[in-house]
Amino acid sequence: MNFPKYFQFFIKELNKNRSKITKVFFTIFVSLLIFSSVVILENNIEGEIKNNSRVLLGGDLELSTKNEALDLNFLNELKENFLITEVIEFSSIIRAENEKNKATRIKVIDNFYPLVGRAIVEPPGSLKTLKTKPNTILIDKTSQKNLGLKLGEIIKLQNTPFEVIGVIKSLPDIGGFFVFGDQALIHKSSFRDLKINNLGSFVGFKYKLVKADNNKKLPSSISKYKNLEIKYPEDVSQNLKKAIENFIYFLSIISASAIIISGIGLKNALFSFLSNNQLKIAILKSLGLSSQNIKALYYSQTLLVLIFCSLCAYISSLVLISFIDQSLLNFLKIELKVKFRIYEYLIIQFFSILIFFMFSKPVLDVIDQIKVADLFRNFDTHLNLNYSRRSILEISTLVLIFIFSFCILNVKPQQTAIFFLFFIVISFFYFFLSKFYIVILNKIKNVKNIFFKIGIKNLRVYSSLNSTIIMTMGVGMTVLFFLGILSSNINKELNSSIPENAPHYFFLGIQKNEINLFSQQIRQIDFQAKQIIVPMISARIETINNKKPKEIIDEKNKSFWFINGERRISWSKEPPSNNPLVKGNWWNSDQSNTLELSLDHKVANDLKLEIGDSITFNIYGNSVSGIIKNFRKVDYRDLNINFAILFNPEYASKIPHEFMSTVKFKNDDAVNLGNLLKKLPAINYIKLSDYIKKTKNFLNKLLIVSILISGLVILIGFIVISNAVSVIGNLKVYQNLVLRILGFEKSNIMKLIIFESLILFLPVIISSLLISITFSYFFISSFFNIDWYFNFSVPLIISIFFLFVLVVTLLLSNRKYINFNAYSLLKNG
Amino acid sequence: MNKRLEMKNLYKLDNIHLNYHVNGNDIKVLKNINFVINKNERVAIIGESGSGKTSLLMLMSGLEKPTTGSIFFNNENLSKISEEKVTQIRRKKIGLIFQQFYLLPNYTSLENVMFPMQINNIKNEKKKANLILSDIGLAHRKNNLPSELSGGEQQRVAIARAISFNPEVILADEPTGNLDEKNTELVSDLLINYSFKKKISLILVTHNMGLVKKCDRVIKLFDGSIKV
Ligand SMILES: Nc1ncnc2c1ncn2[C@@H]1O[C@H](COP(=O)(O)OP(=O)(O)O)[C@@H](O)[C@H]1O
Ligand SMILES: [Mg+2]
Repeated sequence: MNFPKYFQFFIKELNKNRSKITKVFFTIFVSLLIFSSVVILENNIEGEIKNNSRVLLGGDLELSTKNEALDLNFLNELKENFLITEVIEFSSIIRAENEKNKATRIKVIDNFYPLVGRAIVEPPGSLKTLKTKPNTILIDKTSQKNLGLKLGEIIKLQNTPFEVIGVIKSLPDIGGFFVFGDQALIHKSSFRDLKINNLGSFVGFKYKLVKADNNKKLPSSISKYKNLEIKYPEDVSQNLKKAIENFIYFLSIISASAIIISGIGLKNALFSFLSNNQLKIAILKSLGLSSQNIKALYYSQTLLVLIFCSLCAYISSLVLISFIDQSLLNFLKIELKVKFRIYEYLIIQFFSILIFFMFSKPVLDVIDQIKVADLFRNFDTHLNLNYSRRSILEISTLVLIFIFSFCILNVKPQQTAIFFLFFIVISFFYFFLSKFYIVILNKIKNVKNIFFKIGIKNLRVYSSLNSTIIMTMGVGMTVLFFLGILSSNINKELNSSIPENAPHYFFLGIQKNEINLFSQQIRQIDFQAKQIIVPMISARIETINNKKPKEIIDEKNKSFWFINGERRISWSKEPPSNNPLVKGNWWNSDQSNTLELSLDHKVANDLKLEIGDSITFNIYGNSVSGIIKNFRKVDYRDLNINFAILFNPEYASKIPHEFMSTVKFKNDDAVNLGNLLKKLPAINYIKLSDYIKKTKNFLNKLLIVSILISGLVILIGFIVISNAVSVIGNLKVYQNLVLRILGFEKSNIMKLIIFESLILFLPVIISSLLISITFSYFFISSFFNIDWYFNFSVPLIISIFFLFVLVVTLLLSNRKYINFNAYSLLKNG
Repeated sequence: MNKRLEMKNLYKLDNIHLNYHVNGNDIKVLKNINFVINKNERVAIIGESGSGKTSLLMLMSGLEKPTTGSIFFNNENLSKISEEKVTQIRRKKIGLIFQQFYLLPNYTSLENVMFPMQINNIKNEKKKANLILSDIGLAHRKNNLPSELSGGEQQRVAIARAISFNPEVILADEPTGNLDEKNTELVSDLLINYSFKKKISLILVTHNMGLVKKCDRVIKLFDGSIKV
């Protein structure tokens, strides 16, 4: 056949197979859609974060100190080489005149703010007004709403009145993390009267520097300032990247599952297509087309579908992402500039072609098994999918290429590899399960019941097909159950109520002379309020066993936070009731000259610390060394007072300190803190329920996205599984036709179908459930650090849904011969 | 002299044996078959069911290889040459007709008749196919699918398909086996007439005595051997 003729034939065949192609198209399209979205997100977010990190930082570099402003001489020295804006951040309560109040992060800015990026405020001129008009404030939208404020109204910051002159829409320098809480801007000139030097203010002085020209460097005198922290744009992007990487990793694992599942789907679809078209292929061969010709025809059709699929998927995900971009990613301050990139498209194309060679080619090679001789003998030899040794080798190589390229393209290669390993292991498990099954079936003899007889016979005859189906189903159901259990666990964690004995409020920044006033005020609000007041200091860890802490612990370690930045430390005579001792002894109260320490045992484990080790702290400028005396089990999730470090009181009480307090009111809704805040304007509070609500809100958004995507994969899984099931159905059309002619009733055939599928699928459902329960247990307890929980309703719903899909699919694919028409039999032989 | 004679040979079967190997036993399906078929000859193969007629046709179409012996088609040894070459020969020179018709299911009558011409790169295939279809009286059914045709009509389309590309020989396995009396007559006449008109050799397996009589020669099979 010459090319134009062949092409004509090709187009004709494509057209005739339209309806089958659309079915396959859908599953592949969806999986490639997820995959290309992941690729696009991965490429763009990282680039975008890199590009934006200067804006997110607010300059070419940032110097920051806790507690105190930068030395003036040094600042002047810096000014020779840099443009500088000073931003002082602290937490405080703002109070409206209607007594509503709110914890807010205040940014004190100077005239130069912002040096880079744009602060968007409403009305547009209000940032200028802020800089010129004293005692004015810009607040954010949520505060405005919650406090019921209008422009021009007065709010109190501590006891100083401020006029609300505008609303903040967005600020450029969010420092790499999206802002959880509420924020407000005031100008330096209005700042004098405010007290920000207590521990509850979490004050930070930040200096954002922009180089006057490119080769300006920091002066060498900087080394004198020990508490100075220097941040570059890369540091900001590092933080944000880490957070986003986790999410993208999750997405890409999902997309890998989707690709594999849809590849299996493609394989099944092609197989059922071939078995339905055996006769036609035999005729084509009898007319002189060679196996090669026919394979080339279907190769090119499948490839064409895949190429078209990839193109559609890539373009749709571009559209999808620019849509998501506007609604979802805005809070990350990231504006993706998605556009068609040939490089990204080629990646998608590469993977889709890999799918072809992994899943389609081996099936299409079955065409060789179809013989013209069958036309003379006139019966269907049913196709059996027996891979030759060569094609098994081919497939294994391709699988390795697939895994390898997927892993190196991924943000977390090792974890992705582990995921694939799991995938391969369970595939093998199901493969052997299916073989074991056949062995068992072969052992069953001497059955009287006709259903048993036919059913077992069928399972044996279609054994290679059944093992494909068992593998498809097993892998598919395991992933489905796993996703189901995972999301039910996350959901439960998110919706778990605040622990019974958790306090309602944390009050911070209470000075020694204010304790009595504070307790009295709390009692005035609620006589029965339970309050616990503990002392608190802030310290920085200087050395651990005379080594720099960063030499001991890696940034990736879970307990890195312990040595990073300032630690709040308290002391106690008795071991705290919620922190049981796990190792060592509690201190005696007579040794007042040595500093003794009690540590969180998890942290101690991660840092490999032992009883008797020493830690040197920097406390308000002085170095103080202490000896570790014991370890406590600290469960931060009980939301009561928990300190990673406790001092012995005899020593610590000599250090200048302030207090924090937790309060649990009888009825938290009726509480009005107005008076208390008026009397103690400098203290700060955290309302637990607000805080949890915000966190939950954010996590819920992520969860919804995750569930949506997992749901999509589950859907693909169902389509693929139901297709696999209908392959068997189609193969047995002839047999069931004969059964009907021999006098089997409709109901009998249905019974047979259901019986067969039950013995085939029940063990698969049970073992996939067991595997996913075990795996989810390890996965959740090691990666999520939450208590694994199992709710039987989730797998039950999935199973019921699955069985429903199964029955519908079976009935649909078998409707041909359940309501068969004898006429068609007479007509076509 | 000898060579000239061979030129006239279409088929030469030389000491053919065919065994099937089933469950460790050899079933002797064809035993010591020798015959020659000349060009432009019409030969009927008859014999009881199970005597090996279909197996013989399969050997002659190159779909099956003999256990021992040689089959020469136009002096080429079908049992020696590659699968690919056999496929090419079948595509260009052999038309097959089956008892069950076996038209391409999603193709119309016209498309079915055109198909062999297309794969053989024969020009004007549409015009030629239309001509043949009106010749066999099915011009009005040319756009129907096989499932919309009666058995007789389907077999006529199959014959049209088999002769459309001017093969050297048509191998037909019980072409009238599924047809009623009237259609048997119609199909038999078509086959014989085309064979004469286009000088196509015809080798057919049949139980229909009317058709046997129209042939030049009869080969009788009995239990896998030729019965004289
Ligand atoms: N694939 C096969 N395996 C074993 N025996 C076969 C096979 N095909 C045909 N036979 C046997 O070969 C003999 C001849 O069959 P066949 O050529 O179809 O006879 P006919 O067409 O004359 O009825 C029969 O006995 C049949 O059982
Ligand atoms: Mg026969």
